[in-house]
Amino acid sequence: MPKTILVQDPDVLISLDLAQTVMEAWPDASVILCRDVPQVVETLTNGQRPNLLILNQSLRSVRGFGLTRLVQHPQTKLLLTGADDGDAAEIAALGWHALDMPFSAAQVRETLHDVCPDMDRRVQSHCNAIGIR
Amino acid sequence: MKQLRLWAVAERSPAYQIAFASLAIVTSVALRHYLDPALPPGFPFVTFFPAVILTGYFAGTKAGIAVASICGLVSWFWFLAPAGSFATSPQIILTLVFYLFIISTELLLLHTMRQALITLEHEKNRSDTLAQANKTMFHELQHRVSNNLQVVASLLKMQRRNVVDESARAALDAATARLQVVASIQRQLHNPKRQTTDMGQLMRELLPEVVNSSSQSDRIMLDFDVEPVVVTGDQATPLALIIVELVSNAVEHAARDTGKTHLLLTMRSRGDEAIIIVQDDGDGLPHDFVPEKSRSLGLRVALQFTEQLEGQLVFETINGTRATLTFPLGSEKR
Repeated sequence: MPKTILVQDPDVLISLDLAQTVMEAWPDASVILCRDVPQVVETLTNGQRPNLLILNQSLRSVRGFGLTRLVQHPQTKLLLTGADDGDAAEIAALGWHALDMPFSAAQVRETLHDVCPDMDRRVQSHCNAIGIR
Repeated sequence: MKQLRLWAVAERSPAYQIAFASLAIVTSVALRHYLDPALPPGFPFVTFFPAVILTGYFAGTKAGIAVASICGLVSWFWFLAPAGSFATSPQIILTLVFYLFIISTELLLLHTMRQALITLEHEKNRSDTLAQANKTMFHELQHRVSNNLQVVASLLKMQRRNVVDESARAALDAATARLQVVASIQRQLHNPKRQTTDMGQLMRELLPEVVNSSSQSDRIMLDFDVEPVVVTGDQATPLALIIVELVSNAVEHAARDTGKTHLLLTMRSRGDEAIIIVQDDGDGLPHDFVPEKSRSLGLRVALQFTEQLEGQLVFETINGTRATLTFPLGSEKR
């Protein structure tokens, strides 16, 4: 079943790079790009249920924006790219994942594989379906 | 102890001060009355000194003065002969002057100590606020630097996707890998809790990523024999880049077509000198190998940084290739 991945990063270049890496892993996936957390919250409250959210946020800001409640769906995975160094254990305890910047495509693929084990970590292609909010 | 200190510096309301002082007066007078038959003559103030000290400490100097004054009067009236009067005689006046002197000294010392504790508490709060601001600033700095490095890494990756030439792709991969090494070191060095960096620990975290990012990773076995090598902030970045270049070089040139190639990183600190050895069990160096004449960018980077560290980098063929770096462990020089 095609996956829906939500990528949030205020920097367009980082968002597009992440989206491309995601599309290399799941060529038929739909990617939603958001610039900030309010857009993410709006997307989720409008009924969208992405399989994976990749957010450039710290654990504190995820909690501050009330995202914890919105991503409690068991099928929804969360990957934080802006987590503070000291939050690794707490993020793992919540069943979420974190990735330190700057990350390589290989690291992203590796983490995506950990988050969603059904992906093929060696596949490489060009993305062609990115929806920008 | 901390709680005692906090009690001493706490702001007390007038009601609290009056209640504490009254309790101290009633208790000390009652105790003095109770002990009166058992006490020999000459101890009229024995229960009042602790009352004044405790009140001065827990309820403030003003309450202490009130307790000292009332207890002095009570003692004069009841416990200085003749009892039941405010009689004066040279002996009584001398006794009261002594009482006044002792009690004033006690209260002055207590007041000075309380003021010192209050100043200390204010300074401590100010330091805590500054430390918190410092921590927040470092976090913010770290995030900003990481974000900027990620923008550069993303650009390189996007560029790589549009390049078909294999050598160009490899060059962009190498640039991305170097960027990540710099980022990892930056994260370690900008940790506000850290004054120096243990390179042994840093390499244990960093090198598996370097090896895994290589296309030869499944043919390399990386081992560590590292002792803590603590270097200054100035030394950490060049040293990490030298080690990463030596390991990348070994991965690139020593990996066999079949079977595993072993890589061993040894790190020792001997007095004021550090010794770093990168050893592989590959075919060894070419016979005409001269490091200074090499066209490898990685090797040139390693040699330049060795010079910066005022160290020596020696390449030998001993059961494969061995690169030995020695450099002085220094204090902050630059």
